[in-house]
Amino acid sequence: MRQHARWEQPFAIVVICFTLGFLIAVQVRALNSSQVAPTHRITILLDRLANAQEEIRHLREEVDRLRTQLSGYEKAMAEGKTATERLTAELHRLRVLAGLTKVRGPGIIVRVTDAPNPPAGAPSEGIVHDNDLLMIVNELRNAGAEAIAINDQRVVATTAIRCVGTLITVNGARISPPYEIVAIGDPDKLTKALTMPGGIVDGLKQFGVVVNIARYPDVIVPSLGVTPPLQFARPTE
Amino acid sequence: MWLIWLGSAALLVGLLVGFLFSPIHWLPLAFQTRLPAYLGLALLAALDATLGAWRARLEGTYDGGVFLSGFFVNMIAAASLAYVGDWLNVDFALAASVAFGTRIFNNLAILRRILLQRWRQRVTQLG
Repeated sequence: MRQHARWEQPFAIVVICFTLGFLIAVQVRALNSSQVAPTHRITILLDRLANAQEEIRHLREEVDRLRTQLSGYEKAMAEGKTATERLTAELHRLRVLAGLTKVRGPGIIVRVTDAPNPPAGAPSEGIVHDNDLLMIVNELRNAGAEAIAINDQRVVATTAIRCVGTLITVNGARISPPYEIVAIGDPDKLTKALTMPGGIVDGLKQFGVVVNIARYPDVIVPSLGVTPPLQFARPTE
Repeated sequence: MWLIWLGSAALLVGLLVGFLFSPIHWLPLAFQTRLPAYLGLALLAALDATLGAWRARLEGTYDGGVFLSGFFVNMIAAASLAYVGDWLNVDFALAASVAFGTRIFNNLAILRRILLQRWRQRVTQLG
């Protein structure tokens, strides 16, 4: 028993002191770590969000680069080949319709703002909703608008206009009031389509929503940011 | 006396090893951020075990095996309970620090009484 205790005590002291020293050192290092690690889940998530947004930006640049490359190829193809001229013209037309190119021409700019004094008892009715924008776009299309953009987001066949929380997204991008809808087409026809008695503008004005329509001889509609990839649809004869 | 030197030397070696080969950066990030909480608890457990051993020594009930096992088992248990608590979103760390804190203060109170008593005895003997 005595012999047992003789080596036990120094052993215990060494083991314990070593462990204590090690733990204290690691603790001090961890607390003074220059790499200030995020302490909350939310900061980690925000970090990831920032990374994802950065990635999106890079991909958009990539899209732009590839597009200029593509138009370069098209130019090379069109040069000297009369047989492809008609195809190129068709391509240009389709590119305008698909929103792949920035376009300009006569048109109107519709500015829609939330009601400054919303009707009492129903404050949400004085706010511009996704449905209102959809209906305006629909009227403009019916009146022959060839290119439409909402707050610089080109409206094409695949565009969704949708409410997400308190914001409206167009093409997945968030937009905020005031909403500015640019449409290229016959300015008089487009204006009349919106302002006809009992039409969309009439309806909006009843709720106090402010709608301004201005006709211009030359407006610019930007191109689509990112073309969604085709995954399911295939052409048939 | 040489035991104190041995202990101090071991402490220094431990500190050196901890500073030089700190394992913090090998751990996953999520674990890294919580490491100070776990280590703090482990240190608290170590302090508790040490005070307990001192008290046992003064009371004459010291057992090296009990001390050594209590030291490590409490330390690991405290740290891993806090870790599990994080998984379950239960603040085990708080529970452990309250429990260890209570024990530490208890031990301190008993230590103080024993030491005071001994000192008084010595004074009366001298007087």
